[in-house]
Amino acid sequence: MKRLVILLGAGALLAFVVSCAQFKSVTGAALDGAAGVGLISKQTADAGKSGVDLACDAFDVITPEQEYWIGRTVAALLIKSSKPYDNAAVNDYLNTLGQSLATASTMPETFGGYHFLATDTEDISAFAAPGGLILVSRGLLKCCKNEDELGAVLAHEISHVQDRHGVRAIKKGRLTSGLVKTASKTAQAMTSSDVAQLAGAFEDSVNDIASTLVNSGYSKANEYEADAGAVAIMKAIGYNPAALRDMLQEMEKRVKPEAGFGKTHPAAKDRIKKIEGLIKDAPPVSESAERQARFQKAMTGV
Amino acid sequence: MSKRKLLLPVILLCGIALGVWAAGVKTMNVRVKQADLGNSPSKLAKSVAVVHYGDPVTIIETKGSWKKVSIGDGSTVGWIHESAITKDKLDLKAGTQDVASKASSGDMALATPGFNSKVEADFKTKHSDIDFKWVDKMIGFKPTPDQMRAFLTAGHVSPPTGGAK
Repeated sequence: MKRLVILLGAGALLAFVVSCAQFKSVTGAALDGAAGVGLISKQTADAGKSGVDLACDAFDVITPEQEYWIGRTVAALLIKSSKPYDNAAVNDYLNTLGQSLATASTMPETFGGYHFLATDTEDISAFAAPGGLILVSRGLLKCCKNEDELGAVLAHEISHVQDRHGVRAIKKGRLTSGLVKTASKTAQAMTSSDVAQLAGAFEDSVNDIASTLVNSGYSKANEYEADAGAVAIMKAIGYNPAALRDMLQEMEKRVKPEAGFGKTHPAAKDRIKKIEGLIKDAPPVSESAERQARFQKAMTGV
Repeated sequence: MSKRKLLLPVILLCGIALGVWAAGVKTMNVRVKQADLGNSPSKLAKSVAVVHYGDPVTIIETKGSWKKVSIGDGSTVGWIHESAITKDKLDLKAGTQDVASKASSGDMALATPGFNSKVEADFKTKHSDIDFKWVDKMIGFKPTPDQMRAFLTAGHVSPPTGGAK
């Protein structure tokens, strides 16, 4: 068993640089080869291959297209409880700023692209659905004093998308039951049982993600990772990453522990501590007159 | 050499062979709905062509996470981010007229297995209280690279120099 663990560990390193199909093929050949020369038993090799199948399939089977369809329904579920803020000036501004920031992401391309929408609630909240559909509340927009601070909020949400935190919130086992079993079948080859399993896996998956976003939030590690990602995006595009610290300080004053961000995010002071080293060389945020003017114009009436 | 000592070289050889094979891949497929080929390695670059899901691209050069690629007969060349392309074979027959028409109409998802527009349609039937109107509307919010470049320039937002990443 120890040998199997060593083999799989080395194989896992390979998985970072190749697709799952290639990883499975090579790892399978390596396990067969190791069994062939007597390094491990055939039984151990078979156990290893099925372990690789499960670990690989459950997450990797979600392609960018799958993520797009999951994200659409997650966004629709969120919009049901937070109605959209139907203000063209605000939504145009959010999309120009947000999509500009997304160009500096480590994953600038998603299947359907990054898109942003303001929601009409005083709650302080923002949600990133898989694939790049991002909702930001009016309450959160009101916390921002300038474009760099709003950019920090959007960059944080973009980071959740690029790091695929949404699909990682799907409970283990959901996908093996429906998606994996049907992944290689064409629409014509699907039986009614396949279709029912697929529909069930889809509904359970979107509910897992929406529930995580609204009720429990991502893990603290995911949030810190998204903050670090936001700093990297802001530096790469030319916004001041110190605006994330300013924004967190503002939220510390405004956020109620039992609602919105207070319920789903780590304490602002802990998040600030985590990014201090990343922004130590950043000067204080100082907006150009043009940038501040367009920010204030877009936020009029919010 | 004992069998145990053979284990690490075997794994390393597999890794090297795979790396050599991966580095040798010249043709990849577009895996996003559509993407611009830019005249430089940046999403803010001027678009020289638009590619769609399933289109094959031939890799000419790699710079960080960006690939310089050619399409069609090879006369159109531009840059695309690696997150938009895959070595994996896609389900659609790449390069056919059918792909282009399906991609532009949004129907190509019907041809792909797993979660697709049909699964979403079934979900909508069961949950008529969930409205996708605003989801469709927000997907329509799409500034062009030219508009984003102008926005950043007007706001005096300029990336530090350092090249493609």
